[in-house]
Amino acid sequence: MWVPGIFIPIIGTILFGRLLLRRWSVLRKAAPDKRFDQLRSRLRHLWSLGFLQQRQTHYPGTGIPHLCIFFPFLLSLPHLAVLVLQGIPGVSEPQGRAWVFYSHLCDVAATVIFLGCLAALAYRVWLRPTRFNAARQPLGVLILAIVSGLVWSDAIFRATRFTDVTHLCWPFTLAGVVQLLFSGAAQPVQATVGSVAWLLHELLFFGFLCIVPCSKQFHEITGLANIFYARLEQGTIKPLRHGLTEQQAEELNEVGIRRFADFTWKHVLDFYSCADCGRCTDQCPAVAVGRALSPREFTYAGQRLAFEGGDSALPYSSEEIWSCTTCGACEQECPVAIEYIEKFVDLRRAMVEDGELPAAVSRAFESLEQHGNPWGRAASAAWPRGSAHVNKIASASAQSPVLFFPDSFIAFGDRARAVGDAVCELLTRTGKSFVILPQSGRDSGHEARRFGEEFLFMKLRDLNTQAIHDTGAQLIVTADPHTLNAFRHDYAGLPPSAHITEILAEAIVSRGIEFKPDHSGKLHVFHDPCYLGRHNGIYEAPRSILRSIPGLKFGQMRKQCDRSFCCGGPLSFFHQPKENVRMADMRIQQVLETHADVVVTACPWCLVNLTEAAKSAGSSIEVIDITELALRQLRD
Amino acid sequence: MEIVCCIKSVPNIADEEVQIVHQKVSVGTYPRCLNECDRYVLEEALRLTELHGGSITALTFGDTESEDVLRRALALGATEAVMLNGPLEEEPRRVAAALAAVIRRRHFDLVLTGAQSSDRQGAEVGGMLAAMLGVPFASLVVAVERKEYGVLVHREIEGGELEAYEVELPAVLSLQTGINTPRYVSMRGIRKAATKTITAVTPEAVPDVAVRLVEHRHPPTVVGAKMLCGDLKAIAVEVASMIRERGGLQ
Repeated sequence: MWVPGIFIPIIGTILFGRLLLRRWSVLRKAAPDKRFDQLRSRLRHLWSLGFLQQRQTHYPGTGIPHLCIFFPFLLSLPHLAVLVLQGIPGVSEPQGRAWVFYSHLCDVAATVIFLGCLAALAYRVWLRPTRFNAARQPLGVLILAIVSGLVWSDAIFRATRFTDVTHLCWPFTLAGVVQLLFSGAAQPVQATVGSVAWLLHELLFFGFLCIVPCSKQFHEITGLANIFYARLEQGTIKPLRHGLTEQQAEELNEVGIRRFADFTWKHVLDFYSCADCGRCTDQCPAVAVGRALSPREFTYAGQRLAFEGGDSALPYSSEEIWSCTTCGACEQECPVAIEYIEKFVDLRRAMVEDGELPAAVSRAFESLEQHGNPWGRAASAAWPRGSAHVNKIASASAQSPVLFFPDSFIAFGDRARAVGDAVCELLTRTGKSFVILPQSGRDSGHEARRFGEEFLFMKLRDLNTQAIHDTGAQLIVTADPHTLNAFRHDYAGLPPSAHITEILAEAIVSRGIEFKPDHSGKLHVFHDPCYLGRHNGIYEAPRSILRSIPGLKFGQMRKQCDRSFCCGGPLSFFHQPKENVRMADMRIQQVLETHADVVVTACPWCLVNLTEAAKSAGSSIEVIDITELALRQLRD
Repeated sequence: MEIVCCIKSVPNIADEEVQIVHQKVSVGTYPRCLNECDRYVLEEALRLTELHGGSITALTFGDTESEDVLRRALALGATEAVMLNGPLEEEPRRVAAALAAVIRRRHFDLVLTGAQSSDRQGAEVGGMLAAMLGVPFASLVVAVERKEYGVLVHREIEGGELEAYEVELPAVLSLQTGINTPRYVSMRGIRKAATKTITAVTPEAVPDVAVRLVEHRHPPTVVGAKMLCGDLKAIAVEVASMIRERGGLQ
């Protein structure tokens, strides 16, 4: 037995090692990334997402089988090591009661693993969820079969090895069942069966070991590292290149991702770690409306490239790159914390640099550069000019503790400016003295950055930062979650910023405002804006406002909170990718399923997108911003 | 191909009301941008040199603020930029003479201009320039193709029809918008171009002009236009009834 017992592990380990070295060399050639800070938060993240596998239960159909395989596998690691190496002279199973007890536990673990495999197989084969790529189904089945083969051969080996009473395996385990079956068989027969089973286990184990770095199973090795190095702060975008100052970045020959080598090592680790589970694709609104984008296929393509050494041209189309709204639904769901938004932004950066981008996007950029807003409007036409709140525009000398920053959509949008009016009223009624920048229509640059025009964003950021400091404000109030996200995650050195819903929620607690009862009997639902919820974790503030309106009927939606469905976002104003149905139209259908009379949101873009969608659906549902609702219900 | 692009910096008025001071539009108060047609000029020059090799010289006549359009041209890939200093509202003939003086001194195959500038909309400089240089001219060009004899150009004529001309080089072409899709110039590109040199030239001879601008003025308010305000539904009903009254709807 010792000849294959030595040679299989040696050959298997050499092949596995060579594959790992090849994967490592691709990682080493990748662009720099900065992921070595905040050790504590990283460990916490690793604990909850990695070891506790918190996201698995979001999809119980495969999540629970995965837990059934993952935890017992961890438990069995020492057992597995001894088992596969015991053909080598000098390696033998430890003795003693503790090890015997542990081995019994491993029998239980193997049984649970097998049940997990069965459940996963049943889910794959009979339920065939669309989030799996049907063409890659055979690989999924093969891997489950190999894992089942491993636990069974292990069980047969264990069961036939010791048959005396002192070594009886626990009943209702795989090994226990095998022992029962072979209880009458002669000793030599049992010994032969055991040896064959062990050999089979050896072949399966080392065969599987070499499949791991060549398939979606590579996540078993890189997944935990990927979680550890995950981006901890949502809503952020990577700099043009890590480790360079903005001045140095300006002098780079080129920026963005054009070829595989432009991906950072974390991007490559993302590709390595994809288990092809399709949760991203299942949540992605671009997929739902039939755009040319599937986050699963995006990463799978990257994985293939990485496995090939990263020398081929990138397979991503412009249509695909401009289909992402950066809503973050994919990242929210990924069990191994793969990041997408950064990659799309970096791919766009290269396109912006080459000047090849959707025509309306380049128009918006040119307008941002010239007028400070993407609409080509004159700065002098910006709200609150022409409204009752024009007196809130800061004068050069006046200092104020609070600044309301409307951003260009509220400043120039026919419907959106009503949100600006409502915010002004609400701030006044909560007794806050505030000002608005004289350049009230200037954009925060949030979209410019996500559309890949980093230096345009930087220009707007610098102008706004200076203007904000000039007012002496201690607090910036925003009503557009994109603005909030820009100030919290894209800018640096600003006074703290808050979304108007946070201000109102606070005022409700401190009894600064109170609401009249709502006797309409109308059912309200809340649409979570992506950049308020997923990117900034503000789910509770808007809900607390709705709940504090006495008598208001407040319903729940199927897709809400961190699973909210993007309305199309600002991108829909500048580029219409090919799609079967507009995102906002699909969202409004989800709203209509609830039989709601009113859909409340907290973002001017969502407000306009959903209003248009409600109109085109011919629905009489009211679409309203939470500030407008709060103002309407405010007790005099 | 050696290509000279004549481009212009124009006021970007957006939706502001045009202010007329002392009977003239005061262009100095508006932000400035590259003239719309000239975006296509630069793109066409890039397209031709990418296909056939050669160089691009960007040329502008204007004040110091006009330099920005040259930076843009350099960011796009122009090999050289020449600035002719003069007032932005200079008479077209003087602009053409100044441009001709610079162009005459260098070797060139093609001079490209925009069909017109968005501020004056005179569409004069291209034609005058060709006459002063003594070379062929084609206006409102919608396609350019390099041939052995020179270039084959397509022109748009009445009714959306096209006519094709064989043009010998050197020549001046004024390009219509839509001839290509101008690429975007990134802010980083423009910033990087800030260090590139721009040759400044002061125009020598200033010819007399036989045409002088007298005044700018707002057109008289049109009588007979009816502004409908208020509730959208009411407006729609009124529009429908007005159309019906005039026989537009049966």
